Amino acid sequence: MHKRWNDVSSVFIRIICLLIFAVLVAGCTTSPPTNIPPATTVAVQPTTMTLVSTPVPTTAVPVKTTAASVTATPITSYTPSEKTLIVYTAASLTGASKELGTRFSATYPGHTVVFNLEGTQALKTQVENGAYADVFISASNSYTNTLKSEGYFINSTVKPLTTNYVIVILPASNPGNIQSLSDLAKPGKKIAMAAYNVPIGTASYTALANLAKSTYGQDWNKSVFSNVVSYEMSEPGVATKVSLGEVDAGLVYESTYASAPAMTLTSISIPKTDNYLQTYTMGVMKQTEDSGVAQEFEDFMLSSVGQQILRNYGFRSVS
Amino acid sequence: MLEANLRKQLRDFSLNLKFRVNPGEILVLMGENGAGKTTVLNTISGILSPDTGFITLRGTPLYDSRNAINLQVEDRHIGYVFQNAAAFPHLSVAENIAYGMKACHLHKDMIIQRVNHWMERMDIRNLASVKASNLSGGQIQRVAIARALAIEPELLMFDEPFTALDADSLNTVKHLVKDVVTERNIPCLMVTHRVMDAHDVGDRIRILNQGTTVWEGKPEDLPACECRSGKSSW
Amino acid sequence: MTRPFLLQKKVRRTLTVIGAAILIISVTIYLALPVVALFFRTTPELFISSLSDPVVQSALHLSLITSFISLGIVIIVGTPFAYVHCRNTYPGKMVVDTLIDLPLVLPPAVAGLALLVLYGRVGFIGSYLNMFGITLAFTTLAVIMAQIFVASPFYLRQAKSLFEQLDPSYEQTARTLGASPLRILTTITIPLTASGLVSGAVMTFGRALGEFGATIMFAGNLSGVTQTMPLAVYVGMEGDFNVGLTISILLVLISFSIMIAMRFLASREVKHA
Repeated sequence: MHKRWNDVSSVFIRIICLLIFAVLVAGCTTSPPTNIPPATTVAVQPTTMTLVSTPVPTTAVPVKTTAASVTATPITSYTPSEKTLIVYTAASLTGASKELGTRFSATYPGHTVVFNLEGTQALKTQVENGAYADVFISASNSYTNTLKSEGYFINSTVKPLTTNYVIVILPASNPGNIQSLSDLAKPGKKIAMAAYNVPIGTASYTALANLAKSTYGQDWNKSVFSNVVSYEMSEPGVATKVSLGEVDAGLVYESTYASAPAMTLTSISIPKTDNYLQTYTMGVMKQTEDSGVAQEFEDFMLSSVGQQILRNYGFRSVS
Repeated sequence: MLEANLRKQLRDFSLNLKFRVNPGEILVLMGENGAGKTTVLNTISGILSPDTGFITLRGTPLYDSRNAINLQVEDRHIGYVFQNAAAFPHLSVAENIAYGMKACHLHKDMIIQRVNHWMERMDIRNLASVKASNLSGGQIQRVAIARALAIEPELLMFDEPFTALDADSLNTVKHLVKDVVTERNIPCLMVTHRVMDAHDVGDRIRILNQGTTVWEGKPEDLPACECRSGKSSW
Repeated sequence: MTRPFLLQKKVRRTLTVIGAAILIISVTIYLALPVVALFFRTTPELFISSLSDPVVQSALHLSLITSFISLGIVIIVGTPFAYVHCRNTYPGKMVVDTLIDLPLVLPPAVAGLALLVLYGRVGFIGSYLNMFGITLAFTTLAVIMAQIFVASPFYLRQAKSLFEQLDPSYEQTARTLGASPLRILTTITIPLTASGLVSGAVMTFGRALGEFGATIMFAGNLSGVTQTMPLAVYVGMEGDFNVGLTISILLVLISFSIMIAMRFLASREVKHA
């Protein structure tokens, strides 16, 4: 009788252990609700315009954001009063993000910021599919409005943060010998732009359309677009192709040009009257677990300190 | 006539052999596993190379270490039936037998004629279009023999040709081999461990141990040959 | 045997069967559910209407054409390469052996960057080609080059393994019968390894079809020229969700039918010892 029970229960126990083990393994390898694939990246250096910030879903495991990566003072343990903020940020703020994070932590000791930097469209899709964010900085008003209407924001906290103009960048060596905006339409030139759904993409198309209307004509516009060899998924993608010298010109934000490493890029400005002024908005997410700290972050970004940092990186103030 | 003088360093011992096989004659190599018998066949066929020595077939040097002659396997024109027969499983019996002739770009009619001849001879005509993978061990063996003979080689070599055969095929194949070797007047080198078969088929016998000849002579003089009981141990 | 003993054996048996069933079911569900979920996120009407979207059409054509070309090149060049590599010893063989596996461990974006640095307009080789007016980056050819680079290890490793494991007596026999190495490769080696080669080809095609990182880095993203289905999915996911979903479903359907077709073809192969 005892022997029989031993055998039955031992098999049973083995199966139960297997199931528990499987559940544990599944639980340990599931990414926390804060980060959901496609690849999420964290900018570490403010000046690199490289692949680090390009969202590329590879067959490899997506890079997980780590809490300690953007702090000046390493925090080795978490106490209840400390908070790590997850800020979903338009990729064009990559350059400024490190300093912003450091100054925020210095101003509000005990709090750290983790930036998830990708094209606004990518971030929006992630949030809509359940990704966790405390604060969302969007490069596009229309995306902001969509998220507002879908109820992701605490609407009262949605405020304009900063602005940015579009600029044409060229590799420092100017292999395409582009001297003016009209040269962009010359046959055989290679141009990189962002795709239509990336905020810098629509900004670029609008600026070009304005230029066509005011100065260069529709044929010029058509020719420019026929020179496009690649529609990138994010702004850093455009900048990379230009800085590598593989294309003759690209359209990015002024801030990207301003914070590029010295002597890698040169530029041609677009007149303000034709240019598209991108307004960045930020807001606190409804799902935030600590609205107090999130609000502190927003205040910081809108403060003179935060705004000055943004200006240092080539952004313009809101007005 | 096949003349060979082979020296080759193997893992545990050195192969050192000098022998001759006359046309129409069957020389049987016997010995324990690992005595070097298959290596001898492989060096004659060209799959392996000796360290030094020479191999001459019908006056043509196949290998000569002094004159740096080493003919490729495909140029030696030797019919070699492997231990596992190696009938191409994805080809039919007829295609198997025709393989060597196709490789030599023989005329189509000639190929058909020879294939039919050998299928008839080996009594596998009825299996012509059967895929070799569907054959029994004995049938595969006969296909392999027919295939080797179809190219009308200058030398015939067998590595353990009788192990897969059933009792009926055994006698048939033994007679066949002897007849063919006599008809075509070519030398034949055969490796087998079965004393009875060696006695039935061989004209001369050599026993190898650790790479050297320890006995050679006629089948009837075979020591420890209890041929009626068919024992094969040493 | 006593009755209680038999009963206990029976219980054990049943529990083992249940355990096995749980394992099989859970693995199947884990693999199948996400794919099924794709189908349920849209409706048949939406799907059908999305099919006529020019973005979908051009991505579909481009992906299929480039993947098939890439597969063709990998098979035609890779098979004799694997054969020569396996049947001979040559200086540096071990290095080549390792190189074959390299694209497998390299992140695709790195592969793309490497291709760009080499073949791009200012690349080491690319700059010379540029002098003759030959451009590689941002062309459909670049798509094919990227696909070949990342997908070829799947076929090469499979071919290598098959050729190495093939019973050497078949090829040796063929040699004694007078066949040249090329004849042996085509009449003996390939037919006897065909079903394995086919599954290698299936994996290669799948990898080429799904290639993203190297493509966008080296070939860029331009509809009709370099925007393959995976790129279009990504753009669609963040722009026109339905387009992204439709292309994803198409990718699943294509992959499935190719796999089934290949398995059907391979099952008609001769089974041999």
